[in-house]
Amino acid sequence: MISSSKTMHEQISAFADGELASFDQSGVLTALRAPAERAVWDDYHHIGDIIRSVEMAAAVHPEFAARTVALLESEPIYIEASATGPFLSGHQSWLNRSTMLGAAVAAALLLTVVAGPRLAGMQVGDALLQVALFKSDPQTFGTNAATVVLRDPRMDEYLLAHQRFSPSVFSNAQFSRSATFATESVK
Amino acid sequence: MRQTLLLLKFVVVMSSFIALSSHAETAESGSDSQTAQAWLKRIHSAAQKLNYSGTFIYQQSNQIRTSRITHLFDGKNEREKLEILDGKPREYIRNNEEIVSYVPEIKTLLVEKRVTRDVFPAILAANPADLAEHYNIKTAEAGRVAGFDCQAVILEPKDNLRYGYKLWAENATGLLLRAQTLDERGEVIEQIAFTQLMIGNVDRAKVRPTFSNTAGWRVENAEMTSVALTGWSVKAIPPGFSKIREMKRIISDTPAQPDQSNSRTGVAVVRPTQREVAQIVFSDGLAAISVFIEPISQSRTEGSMQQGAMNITAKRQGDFWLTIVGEVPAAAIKQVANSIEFKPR
Repeated sequence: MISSSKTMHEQISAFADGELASFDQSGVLTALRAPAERAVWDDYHHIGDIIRSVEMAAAVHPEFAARTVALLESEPIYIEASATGPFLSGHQSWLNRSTMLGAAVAAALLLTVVAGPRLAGMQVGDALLQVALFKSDPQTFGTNAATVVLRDPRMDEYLLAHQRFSPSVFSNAQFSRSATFATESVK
Repeated sequence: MRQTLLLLKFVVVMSSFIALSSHAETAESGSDSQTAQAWLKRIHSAAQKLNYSGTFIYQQSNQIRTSRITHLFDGKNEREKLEILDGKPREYIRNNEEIVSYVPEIKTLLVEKRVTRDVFPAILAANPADLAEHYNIKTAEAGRVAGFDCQAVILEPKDNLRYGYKLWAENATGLLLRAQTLDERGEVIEQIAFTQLMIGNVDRAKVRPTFSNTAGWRVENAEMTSVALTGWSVKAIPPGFSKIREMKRIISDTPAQPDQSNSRTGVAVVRPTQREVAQIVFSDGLAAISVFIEPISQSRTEGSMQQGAMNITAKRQGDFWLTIVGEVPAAAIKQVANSIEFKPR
């Protein structure tokens, strides 16, 4: 079975995506009792949220795997170039067609199973890189979907106005973030 | 009977011994706190009384900003120059309580009264004894910063409504050499530190403005009047934070793309839109929380954001838009945001 060679993190990732085989689920649920694994679970959900957010242009289509399988199934498979000809020719015997169909499905499954985890790994890897970069930008906290990243240009004005009065020793070093100078006289 | 008496004497002796040793322990930690508080007082005084000149960096995640500060005190008058060395050039020259800000790219001088005491390495307008109510203040290891031997002092928050701080003070003078803000896990969120420093023997020329020819520059005089805001209050402000300022201000909304062609003539052509915003500032002496209140004029998005040590939340309350900003953990901002009340008179 492929699952025995997967790491726990890969299984957690698959579980978060609803792609984990049922015989593996109880193992993952047990592992998720540990705080470290819960942190990984949270990370993967966070990554999922980022991936599905509007800003992430390079999202892999959720139907990617299904589409790949469909494309593979529709491809002709040549078992004997001389005897049978193109798959869709209609001259095959019933036995040949089902064999070829079986081979096509097996090939598609193999491709998905082999390429799938690696694709997921690449997805996760890229998303982690994005998250690492993201951390240096203003980031959201709070776990509900209602939390929105405030990419509001007005934020600079509030920050500047706050830093003028804050006794924080770090404030004045950030003094000139805004390009313009806010007039502060009271009319 | 005799045995009981002996036992009683034994117990009395033992308990007084234990009482003495625990008293000694609290006396020890108490005296360490006293020592640490004394260091804080030295830090506060050194920044005002000494002559020094140096470059320091401010670092937060992957951003750094370099500045240079020169401070002179002749026994009566203070003169200080702060230059921002990264990005757009900017300079602030202070004579006692008056600050002139130089903004060369729009050829503007801003003259204003000083509002906060604390430019690095100045710190702690607050009384260390007041701080000790909300922070455990203790001495830490000896160190070395920018070539100077120094002593570290830690301020550990007693609740989860504020951050911790670690300060390094120069051994001989007490001048603050490095400061760090620490989060709940003790990790550094931001820091500021001298990279090069000279104490004493500072040339007076170093506090003169770089921009000697300011003919034709715009001069603005900023004045602010405190206004007591009727009706707005924060019911659950974190303990130790008290209101230090309350005012109305005009905030300018600037367009995203400044007009390039006109900036060369030196005249700021782009007139930003302005709106009037009330601001209430609370502080515990180390950090501050600002509550901005304005009438809703356009649709805005509620949400929260964190940038280094600063947490921000924006939300709508009735006909008003509230923005809460502070160098405190998100839990504190949330607590403030959820307890703002308006009772119109």
